[in-house]
Amino acid sequence: MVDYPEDEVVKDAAYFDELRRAVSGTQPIALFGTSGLAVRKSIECAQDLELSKQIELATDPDSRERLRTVYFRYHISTTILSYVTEALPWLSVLIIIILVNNVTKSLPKSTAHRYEVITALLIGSAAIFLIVKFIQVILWRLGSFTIRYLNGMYTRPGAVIRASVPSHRETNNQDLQAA
Amino acid sequence: MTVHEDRLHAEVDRELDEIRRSCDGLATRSGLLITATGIAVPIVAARLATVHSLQPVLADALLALGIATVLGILTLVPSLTIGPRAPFLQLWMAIGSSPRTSSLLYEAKVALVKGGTLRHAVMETLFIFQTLATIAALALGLWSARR
Repeated sequence: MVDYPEDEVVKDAAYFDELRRAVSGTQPIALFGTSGLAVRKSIECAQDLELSKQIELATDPDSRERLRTVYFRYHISTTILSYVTEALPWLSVLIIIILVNNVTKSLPKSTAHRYEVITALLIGSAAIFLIVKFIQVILWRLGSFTIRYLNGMYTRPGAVIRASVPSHRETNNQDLQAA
Repeated sequence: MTVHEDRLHAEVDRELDEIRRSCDGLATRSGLLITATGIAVPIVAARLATVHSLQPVLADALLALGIATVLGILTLVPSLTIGPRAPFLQLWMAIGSSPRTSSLLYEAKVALVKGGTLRHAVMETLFIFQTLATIAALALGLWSARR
């Protein structure tokens, strides 16, 4: 059990899922989902930080140990996923460099044909970069979802809304206290 | 909401506003460069009509024009909608004043600041390359016209 201080907001899985859903779709869509990815990574970082904080707040040793295991698994998997997705665009740059290197060795002698090849090369390079960026975004989304799901840190949309809205009992209690 | 939280919200709002204005400025400058590319097009096109075969300088100018136009379009393409989705804002309003919704709103804004900062960096990089490509296109176009 995690003992939160009285005035502190409980930042559980439902909280972070609500946050994800609140900013999904409206994040500034920079080039090929780059900044959308930054938004999602920043939420993942905040959740990671919160998990480490929960270990400190855990009252009994059993739950502290359980939280520590979950945090370790979550932290390691998210870090690996983050490094893999960061490396992907650079991998595409490497592929493009190899491609350009190979093509420039056998450029046609005619000027018109040479520029046709160069144009095709530029379009091809852009296409490779775009495809890799798309894979990067999809990999992050699927990977992050899988990590959270496997660690029991995923809540259904309905549960997220229920977590936000205080129950009738809670509201009634507050009203009684106010009275 | 405490004064401390209020100050933090104000700072995040200021940063979001700053990013938006900076991105708008870049978009305007990129639009101006697209116009400059438009000026280079008739110069190159006039030269193209007079030559029988494609000269390297002219081909380079065409290539630079193409690159500059694509980079210009890419600089202008990213849309910027800052803030959490409307249904969530409605939900948080319906819930009423609570530390949870206030915290959610703050964290959503902070995440968007990070996303916006990266978007600005991408736009800036693309704009620099667009400028270089436009200058190269104009120079090559004028050079080919003189020959």
